Amino acid sequence: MCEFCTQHGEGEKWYLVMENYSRELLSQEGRVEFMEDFLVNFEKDKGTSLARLDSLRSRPKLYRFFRRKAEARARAEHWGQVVPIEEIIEIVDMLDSVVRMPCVCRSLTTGRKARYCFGIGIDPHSILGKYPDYSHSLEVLEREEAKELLTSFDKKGLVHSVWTFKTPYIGGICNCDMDCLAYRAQVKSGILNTMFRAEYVGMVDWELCNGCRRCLSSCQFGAVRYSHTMKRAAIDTRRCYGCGVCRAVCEPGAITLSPRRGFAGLSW
Amino acid sequence: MKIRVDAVACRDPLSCRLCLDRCPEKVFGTYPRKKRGPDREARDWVVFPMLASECTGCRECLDFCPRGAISLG
Repeated sequence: MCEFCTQHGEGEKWYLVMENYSRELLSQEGRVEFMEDFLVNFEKDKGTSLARLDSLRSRPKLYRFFRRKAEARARAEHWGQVVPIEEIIEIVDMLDSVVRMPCVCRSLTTGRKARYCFGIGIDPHSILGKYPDYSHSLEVLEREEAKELLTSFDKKGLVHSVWTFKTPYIGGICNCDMDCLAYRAQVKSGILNTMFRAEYVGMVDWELCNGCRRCLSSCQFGAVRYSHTMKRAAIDTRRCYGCGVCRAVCEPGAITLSPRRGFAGLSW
Repeated sequence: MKIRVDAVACRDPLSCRLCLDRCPEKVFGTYPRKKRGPDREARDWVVFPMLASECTGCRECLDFCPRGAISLG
């Protein structure tokens, strides 16, 4: 279990605990204002602070100090975890409303408005409705519609994750690839961690794998390897984030997710 | 690698985006200099090197930038 499960999940998976999506929690600690400021100023605030941290990379002591500080702050304010599609569907089933909105990460990293993000449990119209950059692209989704969309994202190989707004309140579901800021910071460059891996790791069933190699190109984390000698794929569990999107392209259904906590040598 | 983006030469990066799209190491980012306000769109987007330490010095951005706004040092 990740440390949030212990702290905010009573030993269960923290993102499946209803309380972490509750209106009561949202109304506390100035969360609504925090969300507004976070989303409206995301590109400048997060972009420039990541650039500052990056500029310290050549000075290891300073870098380590500021990285620790930034990670502690991220854990308290805005931290994510990768969640496979089945549990994302379970989450959507618990919620009253899902609002599709433009992704702030992709705005920063690509200069484009792409609507891959979901605001959950709240009504972003009240938070973002007054900002013309956002207001016309917000869309309230019916539960079934949201589930269909998320499933289609999964088939396209987008990695799902949940994100806190002042932990433990969960206010967003992201569907990401290399244009996600967390991916750029944590996976691509490794300069700053901002999310946990999933509670799972992928495993390939040796008997079922037909060696088609589709899973290799579906993995965003470079975790799938292929042996020409054996004509089989294998997942590098240390690299695997447990997102499970490789399963969607595996025709023989050879890939399954196993609980990460069963692997004593793995962390989150 | 020290990367400079000349904000005067680089105009309207949101309709160009060549450096954002083509950098193999995805070094660049973009943000609005003028913040979003109620009833006001975010304006004056600028491109900046967000992960300059990832730069390999391939110099592709120098070729792609139609305004010669990027310099490496």
